[in-house]
Amino acid sequence: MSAATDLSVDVGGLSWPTPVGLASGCCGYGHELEDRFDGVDLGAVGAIFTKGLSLEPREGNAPEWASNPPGRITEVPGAMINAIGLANPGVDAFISDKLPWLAQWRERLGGRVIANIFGESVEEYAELARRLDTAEGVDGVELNLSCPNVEKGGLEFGQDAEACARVTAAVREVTGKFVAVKLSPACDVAALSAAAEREGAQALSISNTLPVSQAALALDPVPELPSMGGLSGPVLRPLALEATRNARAACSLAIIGIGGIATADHAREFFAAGACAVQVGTALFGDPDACAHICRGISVPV
Amino acid sequence: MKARRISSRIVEIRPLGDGLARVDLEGPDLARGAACGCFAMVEVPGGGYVLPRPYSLFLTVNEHRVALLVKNMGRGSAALLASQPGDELAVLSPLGNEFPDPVGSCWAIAGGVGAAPFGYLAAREGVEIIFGAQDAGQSGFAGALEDVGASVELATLDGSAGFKGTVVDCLLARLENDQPDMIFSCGPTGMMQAVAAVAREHGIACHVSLEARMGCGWGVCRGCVHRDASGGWRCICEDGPVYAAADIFAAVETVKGAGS
Repeated sequence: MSAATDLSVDVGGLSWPTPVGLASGCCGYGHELEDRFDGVDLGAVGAIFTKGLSLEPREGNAPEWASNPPGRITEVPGAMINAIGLANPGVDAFISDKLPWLAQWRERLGGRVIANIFGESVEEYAELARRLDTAEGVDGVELNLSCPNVEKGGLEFGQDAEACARVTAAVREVTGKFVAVKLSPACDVAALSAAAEREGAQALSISNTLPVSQAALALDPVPELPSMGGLSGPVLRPLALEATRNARAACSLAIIGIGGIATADHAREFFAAGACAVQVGTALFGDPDACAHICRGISVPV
Repeated sequence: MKARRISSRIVEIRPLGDGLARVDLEGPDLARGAACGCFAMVEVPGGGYVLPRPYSLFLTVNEHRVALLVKNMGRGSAALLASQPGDELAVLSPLGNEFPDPVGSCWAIAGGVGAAPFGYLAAREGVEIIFGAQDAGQSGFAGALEDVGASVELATLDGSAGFKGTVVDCLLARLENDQPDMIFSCGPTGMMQAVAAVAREHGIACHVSLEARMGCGWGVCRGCVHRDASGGWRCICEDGPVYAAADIFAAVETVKGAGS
């Protein structure tokens, strides 16, 4: 990045050095980019949204009937489907083992650290937010209200505006830090956006993966995949853009656009739809330096 | 050695029979850090694909050029096989760990695309490769290994070429007269499990290279998990793909001739 180009942006009261963040589930806990690659510009990353965290460690999906290795990921035309199942070491291990790298990255380059959290009850969301509220180096939380890959919680909070309001309010009560609510592209975006705003969230992350039955979608189904998965990649982009426009019309919260963003033009589409920042997800797998590539593109006037 | 994202191009596709080829790629310092067992995440050429695909590195041709062994296993590999010299693609490489340096005599037991890592050992003194395929028509990777100087014993299930039976049958037959200091194995999980059991029974050090569908190849998507010997999950791209066999396969009754 050229030092002369100031791409910093205010996202719901939180200043990001660039408007391009890394999406939860696609960047681990950030250190992987530094550990595994030469030539990735971590200064181009506006914010890191961690892999989803739960109170207890989770191994992720490993159904008894699954083959070894189990299928957790596949590609269909224009998209990837994942059925990882929120594998994570738990919030306490995150704070002790993963946060130190994130905190020094934040200190060194000014990027923001947002912990994505997932609970099976309102109380679990609140407890997660409480533990992260006192964790130095965490700027805020992103509430995963919309994961299709777990049996309970997640998506059901993400379908119901009342449930979304209860979770947001409970989290707001225990933390003064930044709170973003991550929505499914398959929800009543206007109703949930308004509920999140009313209960004190600062931002909306739009959107999570689209829940799909892989049998209904895949041209060549992968039998060992669980029956439901989350769809992401290029096919998600128009859906997330539409959800972004609907949320923009329904509330005044900052919107972080997510869904199939791989280029500066894609990011501009979300800015035009009302987002002030974006996250890159699936595209990172093929291009770990995607943030820098997108930042270079958006720093050039069209 | 850290990986880089390297703008590369296809320089040669050498057909090796039905749906099999050696594919040579070239890019700036593409071979830096490449070793036996490492893999690369390779963009599917031609556009329209979302995820890169994992391939073991087969051989370093020169500092800018590596070779892969590719089998048509689905749309991604089919598109790679259908591409042309000059086609461009991004490569993340090198990823993963490597086989230990072979000490003394070493037998590499490979099944199908499991031949892919062993080009690096082909010309090594003391290394012999036992390669298993369904039939003579699927045995093209044996030729690719011999082309780079390997000593290869071929086993086919139908006996249409070489030893008749599985690579595990072939291994057991050889062990009646001889015993290596080390065994490396790469191929289907059931085959490697059987090889590991045989190695354990004979007290031979054994390393295996696992494979799985991958999303990222660098530890973040948690897609490529595999059960280990203690029942936990290993993320293959994070601490593999090469493991001591005992870390992955628990000691069980040896099934003579099991595997494929």
